[in-house]
Amino acid sequence: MKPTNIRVCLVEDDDGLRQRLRELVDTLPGYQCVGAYATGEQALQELPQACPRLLLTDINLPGLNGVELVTQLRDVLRDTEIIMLTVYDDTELIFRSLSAGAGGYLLKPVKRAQLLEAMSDILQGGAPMSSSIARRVVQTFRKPLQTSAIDGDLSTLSTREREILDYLSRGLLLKEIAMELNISHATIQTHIGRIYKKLHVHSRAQAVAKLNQRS
Amino acid sequence: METHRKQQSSLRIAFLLFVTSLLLPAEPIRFSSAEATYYHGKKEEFLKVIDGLIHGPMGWSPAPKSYEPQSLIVRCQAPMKAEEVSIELYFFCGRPLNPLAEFRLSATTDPQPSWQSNWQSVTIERFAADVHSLQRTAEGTMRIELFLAEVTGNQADDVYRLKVRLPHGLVTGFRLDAIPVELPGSATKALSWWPPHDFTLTEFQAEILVPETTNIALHRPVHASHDLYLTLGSNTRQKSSSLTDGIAATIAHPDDLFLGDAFYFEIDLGREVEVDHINLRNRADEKFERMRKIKLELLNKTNHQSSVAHWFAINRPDGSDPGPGAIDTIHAQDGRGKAIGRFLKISSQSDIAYSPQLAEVEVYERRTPQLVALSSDGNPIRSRSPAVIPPGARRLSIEAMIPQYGMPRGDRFRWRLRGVSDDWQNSNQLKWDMPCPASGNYVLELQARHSDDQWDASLLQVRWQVQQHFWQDQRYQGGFFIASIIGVYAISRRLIKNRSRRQIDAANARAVLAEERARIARDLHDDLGANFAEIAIISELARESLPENHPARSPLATIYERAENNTRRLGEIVWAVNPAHDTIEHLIQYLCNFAQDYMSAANIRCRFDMPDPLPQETFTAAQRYQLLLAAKEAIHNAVRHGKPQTVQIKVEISDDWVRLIIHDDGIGFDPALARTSTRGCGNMRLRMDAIHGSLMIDSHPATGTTVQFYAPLQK
Repeated sequence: MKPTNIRVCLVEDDDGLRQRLRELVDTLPGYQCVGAYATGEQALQELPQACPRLLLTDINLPGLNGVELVTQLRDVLRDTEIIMLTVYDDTELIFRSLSAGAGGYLLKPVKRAQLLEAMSDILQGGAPMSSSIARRVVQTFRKPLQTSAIDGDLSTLSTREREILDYLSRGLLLKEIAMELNISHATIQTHIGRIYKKLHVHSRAQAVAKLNQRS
Repeated sequence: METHRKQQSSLRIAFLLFVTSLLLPAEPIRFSSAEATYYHGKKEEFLKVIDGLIHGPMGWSPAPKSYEPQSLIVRCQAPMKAEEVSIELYFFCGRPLNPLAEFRLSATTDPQPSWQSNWQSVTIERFAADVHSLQRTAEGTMRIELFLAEVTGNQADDVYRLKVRLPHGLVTGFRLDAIPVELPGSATKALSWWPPHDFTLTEFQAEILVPETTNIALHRPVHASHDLYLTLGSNTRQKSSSLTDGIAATIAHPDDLFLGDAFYFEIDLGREVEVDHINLRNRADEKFERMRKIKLELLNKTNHQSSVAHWFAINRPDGSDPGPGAIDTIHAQDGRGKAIGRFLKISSQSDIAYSPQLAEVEVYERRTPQLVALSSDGNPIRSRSPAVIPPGARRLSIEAMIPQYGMPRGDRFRWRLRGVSDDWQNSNQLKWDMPCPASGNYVLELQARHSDDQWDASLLQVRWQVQQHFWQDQRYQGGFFIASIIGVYAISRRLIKNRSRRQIDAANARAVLAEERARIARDLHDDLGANFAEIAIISELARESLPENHPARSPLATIYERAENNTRRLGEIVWAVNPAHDTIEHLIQYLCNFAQDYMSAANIRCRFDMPDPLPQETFTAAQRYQLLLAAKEAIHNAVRHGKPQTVQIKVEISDDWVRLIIHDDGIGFDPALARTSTRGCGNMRLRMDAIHGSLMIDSHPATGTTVQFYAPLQK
């Protein structure tokens, strides 16, 4: 069976840049850009139909911004991995996107090789985490959850996960952590993937709890 | 011989009276004009009779018409109110030296005294001539005897001194009538005894006498109901006037032993008076017990027109005797009734013979001072009951007067200001000053003194109210104090509010500015960032489309890098100018991201040691800026010069400071060298100086380099 190309969609408000990014994606073997949208609203409308495997979205969009888009898409597109595109390493924004459900981020512009790596990373589990993001994640999981409406497994971090986060905070790269813990790169990635999931769950539960509080 | 003795005794009495009269206060009467039936010489020479100079040689001389009656009128400058007047007729260094022989003196109350005016004789109570012997004649005129001149043969200067009582208590002019006397051994009558039988009156002087005594019974007529005692073996019967003659030696009592209370003395006080007290003096030379149980009554009609006494009192009702020479005082309140009356009736309830026997009776009229004027700082105060004294008054002037008869020597009254002190102040000055007391209510009390050292029972009471300035009132002061506290509070609140508002305004201005900056940066970024990103991707696409060894690949890669750099920089700027990023947390994020990017590219390990939990303190924009750039520089230096394997970045934080430590395990460098260069360490030091921080560099080839940044945190 001929493997189908992985479906990728784009959300980027700058026309020129969106065009170039689309071209870049199309140069990647095994990937195909099936939709490129200028606004979050348009994306929301058309993504459910397009149903891509990967979504690349700019964090700073006019109107519905990137984080909001992610939040709203999470329920609709459960199988879509989302990569945030940002010009600058704004830890807070990036963390919020990750909490909302994104799986990783990229600084634009990207080199072809970087894009490829990032997309395959995310499909394999999770994008690398910077030390600042790791620290934020640790911080988030410190706050106890108000609700028990989640699977116990996903509500807290495992020991290994904590360890990995700790190393990440301290500035170790993934390969260095692999060496320290004597585990494979892939295992680490899996762990990070789970961390992201738990992060998603954690944030959503917190948001729900907040809503309940208000009402 | 008898005449000699009479003259001697009368001389003695005259002298006594004259001496006592010297002690009386006097007010001169000034005369504006004079007129005579005839005068010698020019008018100016005649008018010297009232020029105020007692010497001659000029005055009134009737020569050559000195063998007939002549008269002189002197007119007072203003009508004078007086009861008693002292008149001196000076015959002093005149030409000739003769005094006039016989005269009559009268007074008038006519506004313009003239020969036609109503002239009334004055009562000459006391009289004396300095040299000659002045006598009262049976006809009521005054006359000097010839005696002295006959003996010495010399004519002499003389002064006739008379104490007269005016009939109406008022005088506008006097009249002196010179009466010719029959010269001895001839039928001629002349105005003077000695040749040339005329005289020169060099001065007619008059003074109002204010009697010292406040005894209004003095010299008043006394009527006795029955005969008084006739001294055995003499023809002298006691006189009832002995009771009021002012001489304690003279006494009077009834002749009949057993008249009991049928006998009485009655003193006519001349008018209805309110009596304060009555003194009874006992006979001094021998002990007689005839002053017991004396009954005193005050009434308005004489007894023979039966009337009821207004007031009566019984002295020594217990029958005790005061002893020789003693004085009993009976106050108005000792008796029953209102002590008002014109007549004082004195009788005895004692059964001892010859009662009542009295040496002297003194009646003291109720004396109450009156307030004439009250002023504060020279401004009269007209209000009474209370007298309201305005605020801020400093000195008060009080003028009082005692309208009743007599002006005692020494202290005439006493006063006190109740509210200030209850102590009495004795004084004889009826006009005085005092400092104004503090605000409040007071009562000024004045009490008059009698000439017998008794204080009158009545008091003058004047209520005062010293006002205070509104700002002296304690209530106002209290209110003002509270108001000023409120005021101070309100003002300080306002000031604080203003300051807070200014601070907020400043902060707002800064925030607005920061917003502006951030907006501009975002706009720039939005415009340029995407363009550069696009350029980068275009170049990437182009590069990827070329074969591996194509020469254009390299420049295209460079284009990518440059464009990518610009995009990053723009993004960094947007991030940096965002005022929300002025926190230590953001600083740490930035540093870590930067370090990780930078060092992973250079293949250097980086390790972070950050405070957990992340601190929330904020920086100022300047601090963040300078610290970031300094740290970046340190990291650059570490990577470039030190060639380390690991770079460690540590952040320590406390309440007052933050410390950033960058350590690399490279080859180190010589700090001395680095300090002098403007680049590198020099720059970092400048940056730290700008934010009042400090920099410490330690380097050793074996251990590497440690750069410590220390920045104070603002509260």
